[in-house]
Amino acid sequence: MSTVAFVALAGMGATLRWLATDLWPGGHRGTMLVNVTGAFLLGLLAGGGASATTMTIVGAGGLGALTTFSRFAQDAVDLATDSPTDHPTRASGNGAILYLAATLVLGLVAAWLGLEIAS
Amino acid sequence: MDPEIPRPPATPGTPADHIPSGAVAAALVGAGGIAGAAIRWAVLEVLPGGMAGGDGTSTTSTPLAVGDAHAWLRDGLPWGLPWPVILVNIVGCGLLGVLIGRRRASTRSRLLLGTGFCGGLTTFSTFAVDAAGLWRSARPGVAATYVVLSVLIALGAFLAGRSAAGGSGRIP
Repeated sequence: MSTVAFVALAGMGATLRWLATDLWPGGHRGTMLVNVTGAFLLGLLAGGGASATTMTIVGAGGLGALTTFSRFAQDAVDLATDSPTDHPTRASGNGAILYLAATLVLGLVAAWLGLEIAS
Repeated sequence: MDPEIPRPPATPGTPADHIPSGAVAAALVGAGGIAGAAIRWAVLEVLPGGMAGGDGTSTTSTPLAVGDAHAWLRDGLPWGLPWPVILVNIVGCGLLGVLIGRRRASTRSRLLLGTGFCGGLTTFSTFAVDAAGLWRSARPGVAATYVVLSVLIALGAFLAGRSAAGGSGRIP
């Protein structure tokens, strides 16, 4: 039963992430959305002392599959590579650094909030 | 197929690259994501410093990153860092780099292996909650080290993979 639930939630998490990153026109904003949301929800679970079974199914399965570190890295490299043609004087890499910083700050604050609220 | 006409490589966006329908694409992403998540779970279960409570049913086991009860701290891992999470993130970022670097990777393989498998194998939620938990348990130095190290390693692994597969290893 746990295995079925893990598979179902992991599949749903990955598919939701795909909808946000590839189908939603926001691109890297979609990655940020799923990562920050997933960090908050896992913070709630962990802070609330969820059972090991819940942590495995919902935490490791659903939220682990919903969030991604690989696409986060790819987005940052893509943003650093895309030179802004409308701002030729702007230093390359600003967008990437902004994206990295925004995801990390929002993600960590979201996780911290989740832990605080639930504990 | 007419043998006189060589089949063009399945470059993304070309007619030979069969773009899957929405349902097929979702199934590819879902299947890859399940495989990646299952492997990540297994790695974190098996390696010291991963998820505590191996049988998944014990009520005494400590969920990862709850307050000051960090599994990896108790296990005494180097620098007090959750190396198993770092490991799955390195591998997933490197694999995604390889996939992106391969010019002939089809849309299907990118959905199954890239968005699905690598996305499912790597995790941002566990990373963020662990880092926030370290911060809350008054270990800001360890938390900062974990965050900076994870990001640098992820970017490095992605670029190394992309370079090894024939793509650019440089950012600009």
